[in-house]
Amino acid sequence: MEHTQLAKILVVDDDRSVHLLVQKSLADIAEVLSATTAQEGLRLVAEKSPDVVLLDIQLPDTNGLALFCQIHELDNRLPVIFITVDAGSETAIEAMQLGAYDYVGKPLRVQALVELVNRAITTRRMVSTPVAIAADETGPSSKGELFVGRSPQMLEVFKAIGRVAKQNVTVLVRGESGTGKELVARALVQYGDRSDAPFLAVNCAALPENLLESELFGHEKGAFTGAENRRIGKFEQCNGGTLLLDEIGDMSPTVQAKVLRVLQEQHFERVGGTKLLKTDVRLITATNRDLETMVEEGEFREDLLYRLNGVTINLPPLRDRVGDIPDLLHYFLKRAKIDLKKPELEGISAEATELLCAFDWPGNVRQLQAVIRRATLNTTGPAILPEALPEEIQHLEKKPKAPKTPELDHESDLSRFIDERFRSGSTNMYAETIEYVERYLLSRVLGETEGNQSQAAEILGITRGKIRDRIAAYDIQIDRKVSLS
Amino acid sequence: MSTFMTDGSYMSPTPYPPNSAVANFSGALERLDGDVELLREMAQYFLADAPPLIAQLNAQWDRGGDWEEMSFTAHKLKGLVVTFDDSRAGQLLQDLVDATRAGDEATIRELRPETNAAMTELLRSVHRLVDTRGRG
Repeated sequence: MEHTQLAKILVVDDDRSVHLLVQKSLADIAEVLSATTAQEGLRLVAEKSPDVVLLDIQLPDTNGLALFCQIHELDNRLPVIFITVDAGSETAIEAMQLGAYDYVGKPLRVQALVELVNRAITTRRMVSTPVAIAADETGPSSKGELFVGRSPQMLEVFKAIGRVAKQNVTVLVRGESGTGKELVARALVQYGDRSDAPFLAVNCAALPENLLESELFGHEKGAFTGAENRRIGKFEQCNGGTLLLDEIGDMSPTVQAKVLRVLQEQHFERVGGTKLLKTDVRLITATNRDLETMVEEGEFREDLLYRLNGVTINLPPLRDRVGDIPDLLHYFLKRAKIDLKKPELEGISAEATELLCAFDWPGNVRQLQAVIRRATLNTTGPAILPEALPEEIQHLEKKPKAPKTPELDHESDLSRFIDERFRSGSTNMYAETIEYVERYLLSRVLGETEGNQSQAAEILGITRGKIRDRIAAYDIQIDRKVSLS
Repeated sequence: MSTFMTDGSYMSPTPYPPNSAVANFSGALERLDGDVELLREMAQYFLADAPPLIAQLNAQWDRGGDWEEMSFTAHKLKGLVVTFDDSRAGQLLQDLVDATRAGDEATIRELRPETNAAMTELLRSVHRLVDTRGRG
């Protein structure tokens, strides 16, 4: 789902300085709604459908925990973050066990709050939007997201979802970035037996090892420096429900071992704890990495891979199902017209459609969606013409692939690269620029280490597997002098 | 000397000694990403919202007996105080919350003068912070 509107954050707190701080901190990423009583808060949840709630644990007219239960009766997927003066209190623990998304202690810290709310918004996006599966051109009538496709590859995916959704088995979803792995996970939950139970998602690549371990399994007070209070992890919170572990290939060996143990025994301990905790969680994992190669290279546990890939759903890249592109264009255009208020737009010209169908879409469906959205914005007439498309698509014959990164010798090269992206009307500038810089960084460090990947991994603070992935992805040639092809 | 009226009004403890030490709000400022204006706005809210709560607390002390209500007030006041890293006032209010929850009347009464004194001192400091507006 692409965010077409600011997320809505509801703050329920009788301390107006909290409202002020949240308003100022989150104004750039969210519309902030305010309530000072439980009654008002509940009304706003019902009327405004916020994406995240920040809830004071002690309100003048009721206990925050009671309000939390009422909120979850209205919307059990709504992430609720408790605000409390006593972050270590039993009430806070109880809140987490009831299914709160997280809790923060007063005084609030702006940066930490923004990060936490951003994570909650992402979770909301991942767990709440319904998924519909359409294998024809009729398109969706609901507000839900749609799996579009009638290619044999996608029909296999739909069938696999149908086969395993109601089975309590671990599912591994594989596919390139942008193919829709999250959608598969959500469809599995939606069509499964645990659709009314908690569904949480964790991106394993987004957190450092110790934080990921704590996020998944929780920790006891004093378990490590900074662990001032006990924390309940996602495996405990998600008891009875479904947990999506995205980017599973980026887990450290320590976390891999603990996840394996949960899968084998349904038991775990909080970090720094000795009490054995039992959990009943259905695990869905997703990755775009080659786990078998990682096993061969000793970077991923073979026994864990066997546990995870009992059922594997492979999402094809868009270039392998070009027959679905017209349906996808139709679907994303329809949505963009509504979202961007372009009722006069009738469609995509034949020439533009031809170009869009011929492009190889390295960023897959996500990239196609972004291109259609940008083209819709750029178009003032009734049809999207080739000139509304990004340059790399307009000039496909001359430049069939995504732009290669030149050597980055000076800061001005980066500036020129970005200028060029602006000129070409790029709709993928973030990814392109990150790739540009990443290629340069890798080639520089590998040059310094004379091609030694272990040393380079140590310097960069990433795994050797990740280095290998990137070397392959960016076609970095390693010889006496490291260069970009 | 208490400066809190039971009707919720607050007698500002001015004039302040001109050379008195300014409280250290660096922790609060760091949490707010260095946003001095935000800190000042929060300080203004505190100056408006804390005195009625302190007055309410004193009224509850006078009446005695309704410890649950007093616990709520002390807890709410502590929520305002923590913004300014005043560990003494914060701890006294936490002690008051604990004592009211335990129904420990002797401790509840013992805490009154010290809590009022700590709150008066904190209000003075926060007043100074607000008064530095326009003086760099």
